Amino acid sequence: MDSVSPKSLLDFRFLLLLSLDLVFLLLLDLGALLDLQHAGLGQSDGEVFSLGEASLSFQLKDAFVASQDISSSLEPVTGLQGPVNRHLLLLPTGTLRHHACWAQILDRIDNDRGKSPEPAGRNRQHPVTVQDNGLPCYRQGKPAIWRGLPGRGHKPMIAAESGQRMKFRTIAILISFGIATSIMALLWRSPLPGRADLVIGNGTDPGSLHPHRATGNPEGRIIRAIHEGLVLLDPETLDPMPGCAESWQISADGRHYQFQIQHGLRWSDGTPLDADDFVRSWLDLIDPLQGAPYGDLLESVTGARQWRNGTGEREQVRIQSLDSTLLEIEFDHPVPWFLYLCAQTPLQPVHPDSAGRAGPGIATNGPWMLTRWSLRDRIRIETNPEYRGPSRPTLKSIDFLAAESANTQLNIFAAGLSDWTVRVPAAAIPILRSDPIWSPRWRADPYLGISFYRLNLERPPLDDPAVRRALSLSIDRQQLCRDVLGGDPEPAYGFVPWPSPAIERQQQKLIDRGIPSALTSGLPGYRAMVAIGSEYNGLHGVIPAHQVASEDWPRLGYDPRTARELLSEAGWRVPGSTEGREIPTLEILHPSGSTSSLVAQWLQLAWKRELGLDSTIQTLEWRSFLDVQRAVDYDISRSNWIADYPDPATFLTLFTSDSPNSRTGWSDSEYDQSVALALAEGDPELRMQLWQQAEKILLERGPVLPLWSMTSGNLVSEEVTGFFANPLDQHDLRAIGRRSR
Amino acid sequence: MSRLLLKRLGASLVTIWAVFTISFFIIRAAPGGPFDADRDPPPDVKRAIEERYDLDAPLWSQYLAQIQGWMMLDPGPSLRQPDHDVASILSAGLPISLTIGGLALLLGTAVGIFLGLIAALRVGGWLDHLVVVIASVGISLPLYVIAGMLVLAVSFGLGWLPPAGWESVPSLIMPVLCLALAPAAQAARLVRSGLIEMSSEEFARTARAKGISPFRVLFRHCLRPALIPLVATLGPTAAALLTGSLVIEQIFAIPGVGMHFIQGALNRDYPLVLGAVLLYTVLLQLMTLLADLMLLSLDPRLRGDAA
Repeated sequence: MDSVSPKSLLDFRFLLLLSLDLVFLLLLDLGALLDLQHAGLGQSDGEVFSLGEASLSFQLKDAFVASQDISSSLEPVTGLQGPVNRHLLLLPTGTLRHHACWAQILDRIDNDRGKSPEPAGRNRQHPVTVQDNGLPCYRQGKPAIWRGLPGRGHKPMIAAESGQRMKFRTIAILISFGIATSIMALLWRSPLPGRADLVIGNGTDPGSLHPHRATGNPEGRIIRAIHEGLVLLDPETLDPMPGCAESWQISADGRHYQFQIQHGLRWSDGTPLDADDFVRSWLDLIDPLQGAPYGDLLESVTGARQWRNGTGEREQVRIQSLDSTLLEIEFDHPVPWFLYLCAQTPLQPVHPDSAGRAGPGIATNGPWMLTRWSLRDRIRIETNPEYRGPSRPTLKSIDFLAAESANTQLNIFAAGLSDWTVRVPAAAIPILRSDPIWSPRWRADPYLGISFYRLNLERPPLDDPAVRRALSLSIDRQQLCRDVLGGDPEPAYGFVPWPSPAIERQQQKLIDRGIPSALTSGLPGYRAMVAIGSEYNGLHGVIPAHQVASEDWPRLGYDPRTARELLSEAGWRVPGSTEGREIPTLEILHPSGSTSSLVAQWLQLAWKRELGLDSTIQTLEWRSFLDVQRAVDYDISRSNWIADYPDPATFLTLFTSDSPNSRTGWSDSEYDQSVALALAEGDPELRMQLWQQAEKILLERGPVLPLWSMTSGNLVSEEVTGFFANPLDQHDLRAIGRRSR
Repeated sequence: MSRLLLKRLGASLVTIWAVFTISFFIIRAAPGGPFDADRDPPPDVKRAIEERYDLDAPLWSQYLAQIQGWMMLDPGPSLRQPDHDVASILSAGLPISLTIGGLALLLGTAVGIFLGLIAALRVGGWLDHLVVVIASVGISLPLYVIAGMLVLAVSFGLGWLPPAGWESVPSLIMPVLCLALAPAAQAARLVRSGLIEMSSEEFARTARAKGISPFRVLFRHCLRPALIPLVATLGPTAAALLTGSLVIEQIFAIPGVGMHFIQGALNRDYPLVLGAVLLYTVLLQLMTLLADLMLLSLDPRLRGDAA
């Protein structure tokens, strides 16, 4: 049983264990209080008895509390008046004087044999009597647990030996009890039935496994395995294949889609699945009141924007089921990436009873179902017997490990406890690339993400375009990728990552390491733009990337001499001259993390050396960083952007005036117009040209400083089959198998 | 004694309440929120998300709702993992942290006392120096260094134990060993210095003069007073160990509660952080109380007032 269904702290297992541990601790303690330890502290003849002053005072308090007789007889010894026990306690313990006092008391008891003093007050029920053997006892029938001085004719108390035995036995029992409860806690979890067919180091414990609430890749991997959307993607080419939909038709203008859903599909609880489930799920995704973070993916559906603005209704959104197996959607403008979206996490169907939650008890429709979620340990999915879809996966059970530390994941992989891990420590990457044992397992494939710095164009000197160009031209991105980032990423001079020269160089790197790669292009059909230095083959400014030869790619945007010329022409001071205004200090803002820190320091160094520009570095914790970035309270700040779908629109709509994620305060009407034109265009060729124009504007006067195109990093064991590189790092588990068991 | 306990209980409750209130307002003061992301949804969607968790209500009403929730031991879902309740998240990790921490405490204290004892037997001898060196190293070496070396040697060198994970009893061994080193070192130092001080007292010299062996004198007569400074520090040490060491849990991939303290705050997962803070406070109060009770039993001078 795992903690998925709501359980309060009154979970009986937890209470039982906690009480057992507390009882153990209390017993150990009370044992001390009740004197179990002191039972044997006196020894056989020949030793001074150290009367656990504690024990004696405890008992004497009951027995002798107001005994005037004894008090008065002790006055000459102690020189003090008043109740016996308090004064005795004030004497320094362990001194001979202390022992002398006790000797006097015992003498007194001897002499009063046969006489039982009347204790006062509340101790009336504990009189001191003398037994037949002549020994006093302070409780009726039970011998007093103290002893006399040796050589005074007292027999050692019988209690001593049994007390000693009692002491050791009790402590042994308590300790073994404690160990037993601890081992019980460990083994309380129901044991895993063996190793799963595939174990994946997922990088973190997922947030939410509900398709509408999930936001990251760790969640996405699991959700796309336990759910199945209308469409599946070919693992190598990312082309759409039938999923829940057997076939589909797209209208000529690209705005109407019709899907035929397969008959007989079922949820994992046996209930049937049909087109109405998709309608309901997608409308819930768009619903502004339900707050799905990726709801804007379907914003271009006719009626969706109005509903989200509050001017329309749910029923007016054009997602409909014509009958139980026919699904129809209409868009405001063509969405060429829609089939890709249908396979993504937010567009998976959701069971009507899920009520916003996910877990082993909630029904799903994929080839696997969630059987176990051990928090912060692992998630296990196993074959779904009710699955009726087209996939035929070979893996019967898959574990997703929640270990977060990259080092730990590497250790787990190295020990063979996992077959595929998605995170490795950055410092290990150079070794993974070069070591002959590790290199075949290290897959660093191009990933549709761009790493860049956002620029605040309101802050001087960034408002001067010459300064922005100079900043870009004076950094050697090739050196950054090779020395700071481990050698896998490629320099980026435009905003849409992985143009063809970069892809060619990446393929060459993989071939050099002995890994074949079928990757032909990052974004099919799009020719990205790049900003170059002074001149390339007679071209200036921003040019299409495919016109650059791959050998020239590393040094394309690196031209410090031109950078300095630009600065001095604009009236700024450059190293080696005394004319011109001094460039103001820049503040480089980045979130905490070793790579970000290294990149910031590298930038600081490069600008100081080439341009004489001073900069300070400011590090912030992640959410504080986001807060500052959202308020546009920075000079330049580190950023990444990863594609939501394989189309230039996902990158180029980031900086429109109404984009919620611009975080730069930049607004350019020509750019907005250019993006709107490109989005509305139906003809693919024309569309791409319009996107190129938009990117040109962004690179000429936009708030970005591109640095490198990102790579995905996966460590995959050689036993794993069906793992192909693709630019969105989506590895469908349906295609993956494992050779030996 | 019971009056004392009642007074302590009352003081503990007040402390817990104060810590809860201060933590609540401090974590709200941190910039950023739980639903901030690199790819933010539009502002009205974000508002809808926050409404779902009552984060748009005024701060004092959220505070009262949290207090009420915790009194019923039902504080609601975690913000980062809304499929789970904070109570289940903490109660899933607590037995594990308790096990590792409890075993480490037992082992560490026992070994430490033993080491201190044999060191004090012949002060200045080679055993004494050895123990002092071990103790210093144990306190100074960072946990991740010790853990890393242990994993390298035992998991990859000898292949005896798994390097990480939480599967069965063998997974326990290395984390407990790493965690036990610091309390052992501390116990050894405290017990050793305490014993050295006690063995120069008159009662010890008397005992020795009467012919009792040095070990017996140390163990039977000097150890109890020498344990007093150790027990005094045991309360906070126990609380820290029992709530799981973050570093050990990260390195050995152990699903305990230690991670929630840090990650909860970084994720601005307000209910989870409050739960973790409460857990730690309650444990700290409990451990301090137990340590004080042990002190009372060890040192009768403290009990004079109770008479």
